[in-house]
Amino acid sequence: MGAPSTDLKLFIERLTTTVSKVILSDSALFIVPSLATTLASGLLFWLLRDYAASELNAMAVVIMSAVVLSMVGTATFQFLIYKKVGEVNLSEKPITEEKGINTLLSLGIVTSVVFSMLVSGIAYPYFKYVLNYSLLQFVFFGVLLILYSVTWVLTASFWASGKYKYPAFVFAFSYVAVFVLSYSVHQIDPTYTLCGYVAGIAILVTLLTLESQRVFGITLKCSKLLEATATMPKLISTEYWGILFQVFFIIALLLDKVIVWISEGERAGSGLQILGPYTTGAFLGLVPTLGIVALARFTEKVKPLSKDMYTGTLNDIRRRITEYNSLYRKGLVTMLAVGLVLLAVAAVFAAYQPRDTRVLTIVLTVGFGAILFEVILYNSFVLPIFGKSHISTMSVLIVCLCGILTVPFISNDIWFASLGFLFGSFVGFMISQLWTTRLLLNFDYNAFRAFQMMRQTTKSVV
Amino acid sequence: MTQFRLENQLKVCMISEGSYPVCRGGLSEWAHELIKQLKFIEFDIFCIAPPQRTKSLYDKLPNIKNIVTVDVSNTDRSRKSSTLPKSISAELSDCLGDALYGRHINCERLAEIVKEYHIKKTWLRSREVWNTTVGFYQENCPDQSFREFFWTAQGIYSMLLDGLALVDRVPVADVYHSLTAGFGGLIGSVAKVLHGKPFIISELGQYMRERTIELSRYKIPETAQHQIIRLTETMLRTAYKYTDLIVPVSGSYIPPELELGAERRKIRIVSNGIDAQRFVPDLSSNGTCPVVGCVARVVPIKGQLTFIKACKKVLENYKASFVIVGDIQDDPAYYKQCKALIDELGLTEDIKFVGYTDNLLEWYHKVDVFVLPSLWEGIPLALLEAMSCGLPCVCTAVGGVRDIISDSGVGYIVPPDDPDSMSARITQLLKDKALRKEMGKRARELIKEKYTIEHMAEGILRTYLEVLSDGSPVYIFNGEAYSGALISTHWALWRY
Repeated sequence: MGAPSTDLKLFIERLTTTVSKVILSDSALFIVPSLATTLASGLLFWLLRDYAASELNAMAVVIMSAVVLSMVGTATFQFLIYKKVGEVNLSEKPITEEKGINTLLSLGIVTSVVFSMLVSGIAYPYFKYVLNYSLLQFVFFGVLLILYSVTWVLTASFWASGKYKYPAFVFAFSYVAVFVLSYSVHQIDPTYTLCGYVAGIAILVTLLTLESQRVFGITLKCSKLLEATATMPKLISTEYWGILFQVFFIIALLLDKVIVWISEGERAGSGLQILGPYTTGAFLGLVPTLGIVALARFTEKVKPLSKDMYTGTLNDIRRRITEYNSLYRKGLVTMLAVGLVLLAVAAVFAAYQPRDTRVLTIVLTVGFGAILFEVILYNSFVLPIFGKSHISTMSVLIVCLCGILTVPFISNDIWFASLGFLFGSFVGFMISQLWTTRLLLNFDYNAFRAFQMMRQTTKSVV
Repeated sequence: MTQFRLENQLKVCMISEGSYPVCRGGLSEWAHELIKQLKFIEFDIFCIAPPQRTKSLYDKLPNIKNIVTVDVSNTDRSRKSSTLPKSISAELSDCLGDALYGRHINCERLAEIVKEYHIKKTWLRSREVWNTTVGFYQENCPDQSFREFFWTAQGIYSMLLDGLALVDRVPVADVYHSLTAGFGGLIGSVAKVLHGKPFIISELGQYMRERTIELSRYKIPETAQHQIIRLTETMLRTAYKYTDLIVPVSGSYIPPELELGAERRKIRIVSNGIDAQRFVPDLSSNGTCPVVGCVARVVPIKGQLTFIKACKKVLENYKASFVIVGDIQDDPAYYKQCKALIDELGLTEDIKFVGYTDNLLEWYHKVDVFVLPSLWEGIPLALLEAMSCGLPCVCTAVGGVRDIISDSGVGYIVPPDDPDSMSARITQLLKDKALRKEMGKRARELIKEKYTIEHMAEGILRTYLEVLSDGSPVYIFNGEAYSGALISTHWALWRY
């Protein structure tokens, strides 16, 4: 009986060491933006809870609509920038010398602005006639949509280049500004609370833009942008699985919430009902996704391995593969461990603060789903090595589909929305994990097989 | 005496690899002339063509029924997964894996598999191919770059697969006749087993030697070079194993053939031949300045760089002009190199590139001394044509050239890649008009005696009929073939 307990002790010790290493590493800063956003927004809405419920809900609708639409709308560019900057970063070339990057980034910003204006135009009748919002609220929505869209594009470029510190600092600072400005303005005139919010986000965008200009060199030359636009169809056609993954990933993460907002909104007659137990529970349930810090750490650690993965003799290659597999396993275990700890924290918080069992149930359901869901994301960084990006896309698509399938049941109990997310995440996780494990087991064969496929596809295109 | 009459029209499928009818050159001319001569035989041409060169450059002769031109780079590109059963896939992988070792391929098994299954290119990604590749790598070259080795092995598998994909398209015939022992030889071997018909290989050049020379021109990693040589070895070993007859143009080909597993009993020498009625001497007198000519495609193996250097040395002692007649588009880089050397040596006014011409005779008539500076040759048609036109020759001592020139008093042989010896012999001939005339006369007589197109066509026809019969010598009388006894026949009887 002694041996297993010693093993367990050793395992826990090792896990604790790994987790602490991860938390203390640079890559831990990867989660600061999410953390800052959640904390600042949570605290703001908590402090404003005495404000008229409909007004507060309207404010939440304006902000969340802008966030959701901007995330989905810029998914393509987020992915392309992440991919291209990541490639340059891996090759260790100076990013400023890569002219394609600044053009792509600039095109991403311009497209985001144009896209936001278009979406705002389309959304106006909904805001005016369905939600019965004022022109001012709509303007806030439009401006926030533009600002958030630009934010996601710029943040993707920083993260892809392994620069976690700057966005972490800027997000933390800006969201403090968001909180302070919104709260201050609210004290003066609640109607203009969003003014403070917009100003805070504007600070965020300005700081990100200035640093991007310095690091990547943004260009607004029409000829360059047109040139880059001409290359987009080819780029999109070769990266469609990755782009679809990004789109479905964002949708899958937010779908259950949007479904409940619409459903509750219909019931309340307010169009969209964001504030309520589900939103609280669902967002608290997403806290375990902060365990994704292990992914950032993993990508950082495998970077030197990935660079020379296939050089040298077969023995050299296999040695690197063993190391890669070990890093993968460590990362996965750490991510799950961090996720579970965070879920426990969120559950405790939910049990004591809102004192609503429904919220706790939703936290636990979404939380477990989120842990499984982040494994899909984790594996999505491994599967492209084997030319299997579509597995990740399929996995997140399943989460979306399961979310949609719960729609008929939402009117009975909103908990079904979170159950859909959990079930979908479980199925997606199983698919993604089985494939990843299978491919990693025969890494060398599967990787070379992927090369062959790529070569054949390139030849066919030529 | 066994007498048999060919009940049906004899149908020969000629397998050509990058030559007739899509490229010009000695081999293509040879094939064209042969088909023209054997007018009572129906030919199908199965040509494995280089990419984007599938257009026939020759007029279609009346006895050619079909010309199937296939581009190896354009075989199956489907990305759907292969449906081969695991055991068959493993067997196929082992079969083709012999190419990595340079061993002959088991065509019987291969033919069975080809008959039953359509092997897609996706099969190259199978576990079985990977296992064979890794197995060979670990056994033979574990210290080499694996990536490099892997892609070379893939290239070899891919090439063999391209070949297999073509086998299905080889027309059914009474005899398969490959113009080369390499890729064509491999396809012919599988076709022979698949259709149960005899197969012969003509060897006008030495495949292995030519591939080795070609390879040395490219900057290919050593691993890849080594593997490509092994693949060539495999193709030759396979072709020599499965062929019914090997027909080289010169006895000098026999030792390397035997080395690669050919059986002595299968070898029949049939020398090249040319139309001696067409290539006749020009009796009118040439101009005052003698002309030295080299007739060959401008490619490294033909050695024009040596010729240019020799020209410079000749001009130091004697006034003459020089022409290089032959396709300049086969290897533009080499042509550029020749031009650059001419400029460097200040010979722009003295050496002229004619390029490809349909009227070779006109050029033979303009020339006083014929030079062949090749690094390797079989029995070159250009040499035979020049001799038939009564030209004295200075040639490198390579392949079958040595057999023709040595001790026959028709010219001189010099070591390959030796401009000094070459220039000395050219100068000697330029200075002595009487010697030129004497040697030219003897050359013409030698051609009429041994190297006419009729001799060649008869020799090849004999091989066709020999493989169709029970292996006994075959004689032709009045359009009918006889076997089993020595009947002296006259060539003209079956020809007209």
